[in-house]
Amino acid sequence: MTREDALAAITKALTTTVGDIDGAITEDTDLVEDGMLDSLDSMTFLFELENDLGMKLEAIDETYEDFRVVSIVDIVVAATA
Amino acid sequence: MQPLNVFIRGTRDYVQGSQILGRTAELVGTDDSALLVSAKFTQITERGVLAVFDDADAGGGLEIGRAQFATATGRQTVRFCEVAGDKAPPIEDVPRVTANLETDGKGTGSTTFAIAGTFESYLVAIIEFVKAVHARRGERVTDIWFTALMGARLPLDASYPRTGTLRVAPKIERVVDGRLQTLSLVDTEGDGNAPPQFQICFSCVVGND
Repeated sequence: MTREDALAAITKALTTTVGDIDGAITEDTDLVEDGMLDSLDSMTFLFELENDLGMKLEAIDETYEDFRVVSIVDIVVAATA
Repeated sequence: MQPLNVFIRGTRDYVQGSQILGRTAELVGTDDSALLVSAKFTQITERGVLAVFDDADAGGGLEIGRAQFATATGRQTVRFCEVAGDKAPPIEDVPRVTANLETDGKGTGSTTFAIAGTFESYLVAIIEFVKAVHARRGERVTDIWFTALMGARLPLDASYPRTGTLRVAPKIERVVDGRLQTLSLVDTEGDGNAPPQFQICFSCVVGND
């Protein structure tokens, strides 16, 4: 999966989780720090993302805290390589 | 904006989410097709609760959660706000509705249930079950809260199985500020129209000392 595809998958999971979002997200976006996800939403987001990808993202364990889009894109690209 | 007729049941020190959703369903579910789609609770309360529909003014009440319903006329969002003042009145506890709990201690489990077949009785069974599964995740598990329900299509009428089996499987787990937060999938089998699979979220504090 390319970085663009990963970003599209992240955007789709985010939209499913919180509904319409204002503007496009980019790799500079931090989904938690920028107020798009609270801790409850972050679980739904990860569930939707893994569901859409059809795989468990092993790099995201129960202590995972980095919700910068650039980091999640890295994880998705590596997991789907 | 509607006050909900909620109580502190038994020895609890909070108003159950199942009561809040059950009373709200009585206000929303005026057509046979009405469904609960999602619910989210961000705080517990021991006080009264107001249901605030769509964009109505909550009058400054502290928001403790919200739910989304699908009705014949479209989606309806309801916010739940705490009523300032006295505690909600007490009410007697009710017998457990689940039995034969089996769990692996890691969030997977099953149970049998016997309920009245109503929306609220089904919620009570689900929450009782998933709470019990969480209670077996460690030697000392405390503060086990039902926090959300998503991706659901739960009818608001009395169309649920009266007996059957519930199953839960963990999908996402996170530790945030010392609390374990979980997202699990719930499946229902029974002697009637079982609702489709949905996601449920809980949080708890797991101690193993």
